[in-house]
Amino acid sequence: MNEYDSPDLRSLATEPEDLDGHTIEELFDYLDAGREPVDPSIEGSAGCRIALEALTRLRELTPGLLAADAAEEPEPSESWVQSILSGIALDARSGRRIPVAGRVPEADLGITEGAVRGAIRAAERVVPGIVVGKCRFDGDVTVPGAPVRVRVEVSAPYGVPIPDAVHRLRAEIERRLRTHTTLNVSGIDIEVRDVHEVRNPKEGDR
Amino acid sequence: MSSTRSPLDDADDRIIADRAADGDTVAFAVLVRRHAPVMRAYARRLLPGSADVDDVVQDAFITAWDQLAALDDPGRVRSWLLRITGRKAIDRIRSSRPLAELDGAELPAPERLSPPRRAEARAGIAALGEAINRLPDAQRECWVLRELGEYSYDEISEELGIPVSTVRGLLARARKDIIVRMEQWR
Amino acid sequence: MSESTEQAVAADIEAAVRALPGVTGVFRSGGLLAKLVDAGAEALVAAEQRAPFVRWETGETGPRADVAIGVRASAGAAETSARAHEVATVICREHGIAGADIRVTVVHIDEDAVRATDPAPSADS
Repeated sequence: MNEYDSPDLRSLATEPEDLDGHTIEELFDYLDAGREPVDPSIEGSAGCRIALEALTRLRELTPGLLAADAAEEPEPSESWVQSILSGIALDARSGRRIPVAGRVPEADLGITEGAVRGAIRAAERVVPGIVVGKCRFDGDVTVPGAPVRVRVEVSAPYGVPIPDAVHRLRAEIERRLRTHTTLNVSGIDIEVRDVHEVRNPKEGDR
Repeated sequence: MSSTRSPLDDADDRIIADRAADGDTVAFAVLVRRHAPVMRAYARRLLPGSADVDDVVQDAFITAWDQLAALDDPGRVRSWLLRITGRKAIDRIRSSRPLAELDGAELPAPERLSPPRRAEARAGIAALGEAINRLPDAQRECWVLRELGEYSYDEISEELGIPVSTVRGLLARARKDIIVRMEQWR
Repeated sequence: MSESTEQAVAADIEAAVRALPGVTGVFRSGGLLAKLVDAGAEALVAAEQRAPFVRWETGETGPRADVAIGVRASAGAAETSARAHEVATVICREHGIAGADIRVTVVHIDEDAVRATDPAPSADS
């Protein structure tokens, strides 16, 4: 049998005496280095080449393992998802308190940054499919009358004319800021970060 | 079946993670639904046969919510979630057995019945999964952290509280065992 | 003012504010809006059998009430918080308390249930 050309994998052995003095660890590092520079004492050893082939196979299979395992896991049930949500602290993100000017000047009114962000995110419903991501206020929102720029990142659905979508979203955000705050908004910057495919608009429509 | 689809389901991780970091629980729920299976799978590799897998993943998500705002690259939320999952699983491992046992003792793995698998995409992967579950605990943990969790040797040493040299030895033995076992099944 | 009176005022303020149209909930102030699972859901979990969520303190400058509310989007946070302030002021007056510093904070805006199929509001308002 010609063991150089067609190594018999069943003869795989892993001890240094089977690997012409090399160890599995060495062979693994050699593979990691892309079998470069070529090591003649490894490449010339039948035992090493058999082991290298097995290690290569292991390396090729490994990345698929987690994905295959994940595919075996059931989809999380809605009650399980809810049980996680019920364990998280919502106030963690409330942010700064933004003063609101009322009819009575001495009335101490305010709204949290988190609440305003939520309202801004919900503006997305005027452009079906658009998704608002990060939302930031540049400027000191805690000082009444101080100019504040609103920065919003969005992901747009594929196929929607972006300038029109941005225009409508901006108008809706503006309207909401007027309804919920008395911020002196100097501008609303909307950055379209990416475009996403709308996969399955509505279940059951098929 | 899954609840009503929202446009969030179509957006990528980065935008969803940013939004969850801003305090949106609906976006966070999207992350939970999207990544729970892979987190469970990963935890199950670290804790095979354990009933703690769900708890580990649940804990991981709660920690993730608290730390989301500090996540540098929201586009890498998946690997970040796996990191947290790994840490939670290791906590269980460390609390459930004395450290000495981690020191590379060659305790044979108990015969573990793998869950009934549906039609396996690739027999090779099935064999690999089987081989991993038959490794002694310490070897398996090192291998899973290194290959599935992308930990460095130093990180494994730190997380498991064992010397780097031991990690090296365990990994070498794990690889040996795995390839031998997989070849037997060809 | 005795502690029980403070509790009574706080409870009255909470009830009155909660009854306002546009108010979706009164939350523990200075913290927990915790465990409001679905942002759009009615979050009036366990409204009874507990200490009032309105916090009443007596500081150096006199009595002070902290009220944290959720607001329906269509009602508007600015308008609704002003009304909550008015109603809280009335309650204080009824209890014979003058000059209380009442602080109202909107901590959540609940979106009205609008489906994507509804006509989008025109942008040229």
